[in-house]
Amino acid sequence: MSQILARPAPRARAADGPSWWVYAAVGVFALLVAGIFLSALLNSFASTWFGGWLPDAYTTKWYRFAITEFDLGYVLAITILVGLSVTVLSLALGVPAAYVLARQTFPGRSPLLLLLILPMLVPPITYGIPLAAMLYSARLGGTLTGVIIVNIVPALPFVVLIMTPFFEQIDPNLERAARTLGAAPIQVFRRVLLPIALPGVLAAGLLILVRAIALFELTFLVSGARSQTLVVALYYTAFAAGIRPSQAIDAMAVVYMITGLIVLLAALRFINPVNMVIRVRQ
Amino acid sequence: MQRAVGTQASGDTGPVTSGAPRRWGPLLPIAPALLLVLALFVYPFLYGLNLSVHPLGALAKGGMLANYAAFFGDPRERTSIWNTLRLAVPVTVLDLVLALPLAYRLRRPLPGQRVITGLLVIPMTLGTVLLAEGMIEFFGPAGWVNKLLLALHLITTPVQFVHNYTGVFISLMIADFPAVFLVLLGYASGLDPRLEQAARTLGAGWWRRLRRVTLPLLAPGIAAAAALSFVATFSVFPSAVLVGEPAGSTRVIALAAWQAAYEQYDYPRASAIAMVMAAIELLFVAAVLAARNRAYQGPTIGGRG
Amino acid sequence: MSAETVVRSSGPGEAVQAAPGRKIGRVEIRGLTKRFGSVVALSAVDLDVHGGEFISLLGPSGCGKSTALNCLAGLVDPDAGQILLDGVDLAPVPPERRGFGVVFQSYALFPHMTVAANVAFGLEMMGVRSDAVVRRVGQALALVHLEDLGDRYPAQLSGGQQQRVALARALVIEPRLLLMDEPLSNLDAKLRLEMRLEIRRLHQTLGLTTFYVTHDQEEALSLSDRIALIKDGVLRQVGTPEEVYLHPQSSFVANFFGYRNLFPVHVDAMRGDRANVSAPGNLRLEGTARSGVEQGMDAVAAVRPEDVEVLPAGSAPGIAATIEFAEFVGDAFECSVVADAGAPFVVRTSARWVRGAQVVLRVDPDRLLVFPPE
Repeated sequence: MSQILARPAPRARAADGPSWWVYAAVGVFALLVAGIFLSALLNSFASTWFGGWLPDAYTTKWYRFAITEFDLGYVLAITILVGLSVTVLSLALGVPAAYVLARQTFPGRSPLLLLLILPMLVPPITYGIPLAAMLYSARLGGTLTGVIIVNIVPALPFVVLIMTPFFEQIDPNLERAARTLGAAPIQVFRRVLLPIALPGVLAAGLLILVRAIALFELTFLVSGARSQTLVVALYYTAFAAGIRPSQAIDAMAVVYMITGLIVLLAALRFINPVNMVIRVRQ
Repeated sequence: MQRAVGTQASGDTGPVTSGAPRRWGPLLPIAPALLLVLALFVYPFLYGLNLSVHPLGALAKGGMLANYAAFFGDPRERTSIWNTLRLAVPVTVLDLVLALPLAYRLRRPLPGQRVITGLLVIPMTLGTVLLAEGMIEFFGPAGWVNKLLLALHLITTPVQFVHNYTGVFISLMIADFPAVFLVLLGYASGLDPRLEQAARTLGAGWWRRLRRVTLPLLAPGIAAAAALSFVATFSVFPSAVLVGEPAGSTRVIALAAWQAAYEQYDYPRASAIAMVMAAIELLFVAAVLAARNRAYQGPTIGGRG
Repeated sequence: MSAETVVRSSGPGEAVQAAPGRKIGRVEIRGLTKRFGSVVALSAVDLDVHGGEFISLLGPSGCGKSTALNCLAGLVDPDAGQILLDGVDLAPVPPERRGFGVVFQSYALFPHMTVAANVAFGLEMMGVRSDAVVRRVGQALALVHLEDLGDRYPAQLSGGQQQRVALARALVIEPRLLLMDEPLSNLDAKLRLEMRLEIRRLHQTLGLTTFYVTHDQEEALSLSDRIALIKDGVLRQVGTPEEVYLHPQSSFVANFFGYRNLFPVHVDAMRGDRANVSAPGNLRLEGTARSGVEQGMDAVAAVRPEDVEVLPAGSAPGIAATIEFAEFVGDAFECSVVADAGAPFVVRTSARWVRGAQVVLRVDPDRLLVFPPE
């Protein structure tokens, strides 16, 4: 009897059925996305493109145009700065919170968890507009600080959501063992907890960075002319599409995409998405 | 290594604390996060709620709920709910239907596993704005899709894919898919394969295994993915503007709120609309959770009792 | 660390010489009580353990033995009661300053450190100089026969090897007490036997006071100087292996040590410690009553399978019964029999009985124990 229920097969077996459809489906999807990206990419390098399959001629002038006209370099710097700040701050706040949630049982734990995750479940507009109003009245509206602050709100739940199950899966006996061996709580944290948790923290951080770069609504409500992230700037220029040449807009879009892609690929190198199990003890 | 956390049965000691003052000390690290959420989320939310029941101008005579009444009373405003639901629900359902078999199949490694997962997840970097922007080219009348369809003689004149409902629909499908897929993949890979093997040895064919074992076990994942997806798609904003018809069929509710705030400078009314949005989303999430609890309650990792 | 720690000589395997009459690692547990919510894990446990003694806490799952160990380690604060080590109350001492060696059931090896680093951890926390650390880690690994594996990571080791690393890590700090929580339960049968011998050898070499939690009576019997039996948080009996095995004081303890036949009886008459008991179906037996049994009460009778004599029907007076089936267990047959009166028995015989055979069962009154009900 134990033979039948032996170790699960490590690879998909023939009994699972044909797997070509997976490759086909993924292929179609990838083609779509690639097509969208390539269109923008090619257009950004096109001097003119009048309805043929490919541009008529190529140039890099649109990138130079975007850099000067849209201040692309500055916007990119702002985007990275915002992304990193949001990531670091939400990790600093969220990781300790996740640890407490994972290790302690106390009355009110479930409601507290729900509260911390709530900002992800509610449309940003609902708290975004009043929050923007608050920041403006605190004279933080339109500033970099304001943009950073406002983006922490949806990032924090994400950290808690990812890190809590992560901490739960670390054997609590490890901490107990360290204590019986003479380690004070600080030493337990430094020598045992931190090294083990670091990969998860880094992975979460990378994912947050990706999201922070892509997050639109809140930055849109709060940013000023000098504190727009790439995605908001892109929106503004696309919105004024009639006035701006589409090639320049696409140049900007391509830069935006490359930035995000680099971060995501870095993230995927270190983590297997399967490990990002978004399950929390209810 | 499956461990029961926090059990007070014979093996466990409970919380990793010691010494005399244990009540609140260990919980301190959670305070900063809590404060932030309270200050920057709960408070603005309540502030907005409060704002919404203090109508401005002409509506002030209508009492506290005047903003809401105005919203539901105006057909153009009311329709925005319908416009948004018309997008959010099909996209959520369709993305679930498409992602589920893929996630289920990929719970065990295939050759090229990481490439596949990477490819499916890449749109996460794009975000709706870039997708929308790129779609204008790709799906435009002179774009490659139309060219291909024309070349294959499937159509005779270019199809209008963008600047309408279809455009927003497609952009949401693509943007939403990675998140749904990841959540489902996470739950699917947590399924104990021995449960399905047991069902097979008991004589269940693939359909019955699906219906009676796999889907109920995946119910929490499906619910989570559905909730996440609906929340994201219902809040749609930039793509509704860029590749949709913001003045017409894709005038989504987020747009209505934004216009109230920044075009008409009526913050109370904008807040009211935002509250309606939040209410609908929370309603949906609650409904999904209730349905899930009816389908299955308990862990997805197999019964070792 | 105070001067009262165990003094080890410099090489592994040399016996520890303790000054005669000196108390090393004497533990007194008084009224230890712990509740988790509405569940009482420990209820007023009293126990005195001599220095150098190996005592097992034996009981079924959930009986509180692990909780007791965690209280000793300082990982859990008791609700009431005291733990004294060599006369000193441990209550104000946090776990990181108790200096006890703890071996967890799951080993709890730090996955991100090598074997050597794992073993060195406690020494580093104590502030031992690095050359001394290296030397002592080497000695500890040699003690558990893992000299060459210092650079490996726990994930690269087998279960048995991991267990020995956990032991080395606990022993290298020269602890005043050794606390082990079911350390062998994750190992397969053969490995378990090997490690049992290892643990015995280490105890004889080092002479540390050891608390050993287990649910396996065989382990407890072979390793311990004394065994403490716990059920539902209550200490039921403490004694040497011979004492608890031969003279169990309750049906709970008896059941643990091989008295597999337990059945409810009524005490009809008593003379001294002899009791005449009867069971439903006109089953009459004579047995030895333990304390707490009185005439006229309902009680529990217990007898070991090997103490039941099986004879062909009609050959002698006794309980009439029928053989259900017989299992060959290597050195004997274990038969399941049902008395005509209805009570089931497990018996051991040297002959193979056929299913359905009619037999007669006889029990020596000295070997049938009668206990008060649980």
